Amino acid sequence: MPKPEFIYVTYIETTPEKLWHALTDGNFTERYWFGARLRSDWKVGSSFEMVRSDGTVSDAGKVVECEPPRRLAYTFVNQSDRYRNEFPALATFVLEPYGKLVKLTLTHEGFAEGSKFFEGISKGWPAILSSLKSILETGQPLEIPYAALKLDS
Amino acid sequence: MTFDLEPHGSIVKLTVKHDNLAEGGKTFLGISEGWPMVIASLKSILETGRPLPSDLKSSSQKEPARA
Repeated sequence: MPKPEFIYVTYIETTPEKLWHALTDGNFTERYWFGARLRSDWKVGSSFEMVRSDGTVSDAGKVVECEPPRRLAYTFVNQSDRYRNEFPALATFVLEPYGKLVKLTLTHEGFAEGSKFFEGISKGWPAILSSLKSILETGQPLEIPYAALKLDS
Repeated sequence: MTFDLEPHGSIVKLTVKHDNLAEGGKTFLGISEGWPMVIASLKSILETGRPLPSDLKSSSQKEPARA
């Protein structure tokens, strides 16, 4: 059985610089990422955290690559009991400009077979990245009910 | 080809499944490039009233990435 890997490709009418900002600025991520602020100094080897509105850390890992505005990679794993014993998997974002568009490719890999966290991110990323595209193109994020992710099913 | 539409309040979750394709075949490789573009443009036209600019076409031709 192949190891699980998540790949998502989308096209956004924006610039690589704006997309980079949207992916790395905590004040901005809070608006479209189910309220999560990303926290890091974005230096390779530094910590990477997703911070909830109450200040607690939901996910944590490390920055692996940072080449603005083209390539960003970090590891993370959710800190809840549900995913204990799971290792941080590697998420890599590649930004490729084509005229007025940017092609965004996210590859999330390094999961163990049968990983529950893989199931979780497979439901979470499409919602987050869809909202990201909306906020960059319309100025408004999507209002996706958390329940729509069906994380418990 | 299966399109599944699931309403959630003011949004719709669209799930597109294209199966029964030979692994690594030309059709699979083609649609893997094609669907993300079509679906990204579909989302834009529904949300902004405009499809994505035609710059989209150049991306499948692997033109120099620097804009």
